[in-house]
Amino acid sequence: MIFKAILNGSSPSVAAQAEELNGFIRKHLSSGDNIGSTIVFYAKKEAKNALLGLVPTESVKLVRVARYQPENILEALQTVENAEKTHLYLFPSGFAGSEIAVRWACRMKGSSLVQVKQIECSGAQLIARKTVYANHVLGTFKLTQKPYCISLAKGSADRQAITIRDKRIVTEHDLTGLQKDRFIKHSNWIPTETTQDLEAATFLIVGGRGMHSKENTQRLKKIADALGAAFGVSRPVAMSAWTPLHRMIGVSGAMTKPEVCIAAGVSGAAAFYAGIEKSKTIVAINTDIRAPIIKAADVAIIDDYKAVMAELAKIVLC
Amino acid sequence: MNILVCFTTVPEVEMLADEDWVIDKNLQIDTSFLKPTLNSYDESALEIALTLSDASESVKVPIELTALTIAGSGATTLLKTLNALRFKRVVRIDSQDDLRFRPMAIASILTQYVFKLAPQDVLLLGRQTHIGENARTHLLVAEMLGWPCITQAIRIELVDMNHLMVTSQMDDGLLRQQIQTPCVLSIGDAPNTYMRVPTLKDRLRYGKQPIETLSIKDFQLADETEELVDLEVIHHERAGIVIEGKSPEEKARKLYEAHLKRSVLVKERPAKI
Amino acid sequence: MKKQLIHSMDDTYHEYLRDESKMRGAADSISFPESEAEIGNILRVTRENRMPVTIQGGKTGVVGSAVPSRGHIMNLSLMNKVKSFFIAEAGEAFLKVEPGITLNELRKAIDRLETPKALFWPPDPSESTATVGGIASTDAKGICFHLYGKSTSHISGIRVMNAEGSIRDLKSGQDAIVINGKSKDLQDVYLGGEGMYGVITELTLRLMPKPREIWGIGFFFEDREDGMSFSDQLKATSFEVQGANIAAIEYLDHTIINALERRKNELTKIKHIPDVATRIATMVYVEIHGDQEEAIEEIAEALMTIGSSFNGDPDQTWAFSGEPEIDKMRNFLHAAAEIAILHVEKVRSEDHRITKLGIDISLEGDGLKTWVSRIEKTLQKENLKAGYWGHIGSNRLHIDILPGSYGEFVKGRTLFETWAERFPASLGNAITSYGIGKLKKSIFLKTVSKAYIEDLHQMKKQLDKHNLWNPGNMIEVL
Repeated sequence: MIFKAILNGSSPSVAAQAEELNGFIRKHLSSGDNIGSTIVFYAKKEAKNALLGLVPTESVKLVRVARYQPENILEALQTVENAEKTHLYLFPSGFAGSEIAVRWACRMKGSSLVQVKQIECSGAQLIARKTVYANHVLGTFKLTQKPYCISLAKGSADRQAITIRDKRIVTEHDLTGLQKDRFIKHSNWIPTETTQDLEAATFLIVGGRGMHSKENTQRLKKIADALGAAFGVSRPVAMSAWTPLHRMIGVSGAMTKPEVCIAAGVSGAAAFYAGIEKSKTIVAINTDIRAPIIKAADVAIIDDYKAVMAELAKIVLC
Repeated sequence: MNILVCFTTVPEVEMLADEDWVIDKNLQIDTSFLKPTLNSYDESALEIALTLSDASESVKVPIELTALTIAGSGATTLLKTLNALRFKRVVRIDSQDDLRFRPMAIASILTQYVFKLAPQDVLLLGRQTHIGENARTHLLVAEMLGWPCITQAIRIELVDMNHLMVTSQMDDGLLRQQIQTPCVLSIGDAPNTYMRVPTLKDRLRYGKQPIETLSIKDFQLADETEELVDLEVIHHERAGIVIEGKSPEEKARKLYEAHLKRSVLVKERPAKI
Repeated sequence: MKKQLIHSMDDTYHEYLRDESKMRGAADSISFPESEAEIGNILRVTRENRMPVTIQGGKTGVVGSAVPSRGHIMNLSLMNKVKSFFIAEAGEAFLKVEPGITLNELRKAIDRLETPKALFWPPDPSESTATVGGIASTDAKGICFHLYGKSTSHISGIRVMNAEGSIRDLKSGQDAIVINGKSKDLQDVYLGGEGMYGVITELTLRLMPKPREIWGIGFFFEDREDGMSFSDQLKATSFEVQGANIAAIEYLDHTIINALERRKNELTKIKHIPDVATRIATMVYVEIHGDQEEAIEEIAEALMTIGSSFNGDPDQTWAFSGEPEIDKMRNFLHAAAEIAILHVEKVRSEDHRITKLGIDISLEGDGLKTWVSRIEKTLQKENLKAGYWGHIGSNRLHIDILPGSYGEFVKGRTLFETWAERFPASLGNAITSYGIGKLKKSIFLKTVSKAYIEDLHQMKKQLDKHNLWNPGNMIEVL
C-alpha cells in the first residue's frame, strides 16, 4: 500500500502529531509492501529544517503556505498531489486533521473515516476501527473507494520518536499565494492553554459534575496544583464554563495516560472514560456506589470527594 | 440572511444498563425504549441560530430561520416547539431508514434541499451525534455545496447582511474570524447554549403552523464510501476494589499508602542522621 | 458453597443506616435477598433470634421509615425483576414486578412492552431511584396525584410474607381484615403500612394508557397575592376537555425560586431551565395531560386568560411540551424539595442540633391564600424565614422554616407544635404526604384521632404479633 502522512508544520503541537503518526505507522504500516512518504505544510521558512527532523518517513514533500487554512490546504493538496497514485492518506488526530481528511476524500472520490483507532490492510483493502455509540461500541468499517483518507483517534498509537535521519525531499512548493480563504475578511487568533499538560501528565486529578460549583472546581484545582497533579474536568463541567474548554477530558477533549488518575465526583460516562482509559491506575471517589466509574476504576472510595481530597492534601503536604 | 439549522434526536445511551448492550445480527442495538433527546451539539446550533435572530433587529439584518430534520413522526413534538420558538420554516424529511452511518446520504439530502428547494446563506449543524460519531456530515455537505466550512464554532455573531463573526475552537486555541456567507458552520462544545423555552402565547399562536413534510424518497441519496462490517461492545471494567474506612481521613490514608506514595507522590525527605 | 445471605454490619454497609432524611440508625446485620425463597431463609434465622427486621428499598424516603432502629436490615434492591406482563379480559394491562425495581427501571421496562398504545404506571414521585415497593409501602404521591389518585389504586394485588415465613396473595378489594369490629381491605393495610406488617415480595401493577400529549406551563407573578389567587382559582375550576385535564398544579414562592436560581450554578440537571427574573414573587406550574392536542390547547387558552386576569404576563410564561422537556421541569421541581435540606446542611455546620423543619398542610376548605396569610402572621411574629411550595392540585402546601440559628430552630419547632394543636385536622390530613416513619411520628400522634391510632395497634397485633417488622415506624409498640 502506498501511503502519505500529512503534517501541519505550523501547529505548536507538530512534534506530538508527528510522533503519534510515527507510532501508528510503525504499528500498522511497517511491513515491506507499504511505501510511505510525508507531506509537510509550513508557513515559516526558518522552521523548515527543524520540521524535516520530524518527518516520519524517508521521502517528503514540502509545501509552504501562508497559514494552515483548510480551504487553502485542500487547494494545495490538489495542486501537489496525484491522488490516483496513493492508496491511503493519514492525517493526525485533532480537529484540523479530521477536517481535511474528509474533504480531501470527498474531492478525490475516495473514502474517509475520522478518529480511527486501528487499521488492517490486506492487499488493496482497508479495514478501519473506531468507536461509536459514545465510546461504548467499537465499529469496524471497510473503506471501499481509494484513496482512503483517515484521521487518527487521539491516543490510537503510542508516541514514537522519529529515528529516520536522512530525508529525501521529493518536491518543494511555494503556495503562499493561494487565495481560497478570501471569504475570511479578518481573523484574530486567541491562544488558550492547550491540553498538552494533561496528555503528558503522570499524575492527574479530574473533577466531574459532583463538584457542583465553580468555587469547588477552583478548590479542587488548588489541591491538584499543591499535589503536583495536572487538573482536568468532565464535559458537563466544561460546558457549565466552570473551567476553560481546554481542561476537558474525553472523546472531544484530552486523551490522557497518567500513572495515576483520581476521578473525583465523576459519574464516568463512556465518552469521558475514553480520555482516561489508558491510565495505569484509576482511582474513583464518588458518593454513589452505582456510578459507572466505580466498576471501571481499579480502586474506589465511596465518600464525599471534598473530604477525602482535603485529607489527602493534609497527609501529603504536612 | 437565510439560515438552515439541521438537527436530529438521539437516544440517551448512558441510560442503558450493562445488559442492554446487545448487538443483533443486523448490527443494531435496541434503544427503542429510550427517550430520544435533542443531540446536544444540535441543541447548541438551534439556540445559536435563535440568538442570531434576536440580534437581527438591532443590526437591521432580516433573518429567516429554517430548522430541518430527517426523522419519523416521533419528531413532531420537537418540531412544534421550534415553530413556537419562531423558526420561519420547520421541515421534516420523513424517513424510517437506518441513517446511523450514512453521512454521505444525509449530506446529499441537505445539498439538494438547499440547491433545489430553499436557497440558504448559512448552514448550521452540530459536529456529530454520539451514536454514529461520524463527524463528517458538515464537511461532506460543504464539499457538495462547494462552500467553505468552519468547524467547532462555539460563538457566532451577526455583522451585516452577508457577514458573520465566528469564534471556533482549534487544536491549540480559539480563532475569531469575520467571514462572508455562504458558509457551512459546524457547532462544537459551545458552553451555556441550552435551547430556550417558548412562551405559552407563542406556543398557542405559532406552535400549530404547518410542518413541511417531505419524503426521503424525493431525494437522491449518495452512496456511502465505507461499509459497516461489525460492531463490538467495549467493556470498561477494572477491579473496582472499594477502599474501606471509618472516615474520609482513614480512606485517604489507605489510598495514599497503597497507591500514591510509591508512584506519583514520592516524598523527598532529607535522610535522618 | 452455600451463598452467605446475612452479613454482619461493618463499615461497608454504613450507608444502609440512613436514608434521605439523613437520620442515622443502628443494626446488627444486613441482607440483600434476590428471591422470595432467600427472604424465607433469612426470616428463618431472624425469627430464631427474635430479631426485628427493617425493610429497605431505594432509601429515598425523607421520614426515616427505612432507617433501622435495631436488628436486621433486609435490603430489597436486588429484587428488581419484572416477572410478567398480561392483559386481562377487560383489556386492562398488568405488570408483575418484584418490590426492589426502581421507577427508572420500571419505566424502561414498560417502554419496552410491545403494546398498540404506550402504557405507563401513574405514580410519579419525583425521585426516580425510589423503588416500587417503597412507593407502595409509603403510599407515596406524585405531583399528578391530583388527576390519577393514590399510588395504591394502581396496584391490583400484592404477595406478602409474614415473620413466620407464610405467604399470602392479596387482591385489592377481595381480602379483608376485621379491626375493632370494622372490616378493612387487607391490601390497603399493607400499602401505606411502612413495612410494619410484613414484607411485600411481589406487586401486580395496573398500567394505564399513556397520555399522548403533555404540556407543562409556568406562570409568573410579580405580586404573590396574584399567584396565590391564581392557584386557588385553578383548583376551584374544572378544566376537563375531551379527556384532557390538569394533572398537576405546583406552587413555588420567591424564597424557593431564588434558592433554585442560585443552585443552577451547582446542579447541571436544572441548568436547562431558563432563568427567572428576581422581581418574580411566585411561580405556578401547571401540567396538562391528554390525547388530543386541540383539547390541551383549549385548556391552555383558558389558563392564559385566567393568568392574565391575575396580572400574569403572557409574554413571561414557559410552555414545555413532550416528555424530554417535561422531565427537565420535573427536575427543577424536585430540586425545590431539596432546598430546605441544603439549608439545614449549611446551618448544621454551625450548630448540629438543627434539623429539617418542614410541615405539610391540607388546603382542603380554605385554600392557599387564606392559609399562607394565617401562617405568615405567626411566622412574622417570631421573625422566622420560610419557603413555601406545594402540590396545589392535591391540596397540599409544604412549609420549610429556614432557621438561621438554633434559637430560631427552637422557635420554629415550637410553632409547629402550636399549629398541630390549633389546626389538628389540616395538619393531620396532610401528614401522610411523605410518610410518617420515625421523624414525623410525634406530630402524627398529636394530630390523628385516638381511634385511628388504636386501629394501628390492633392491626400490628393481628399481623405481627411479636413486633418484628420495622420497629419504630408510626407508632410505639410496647
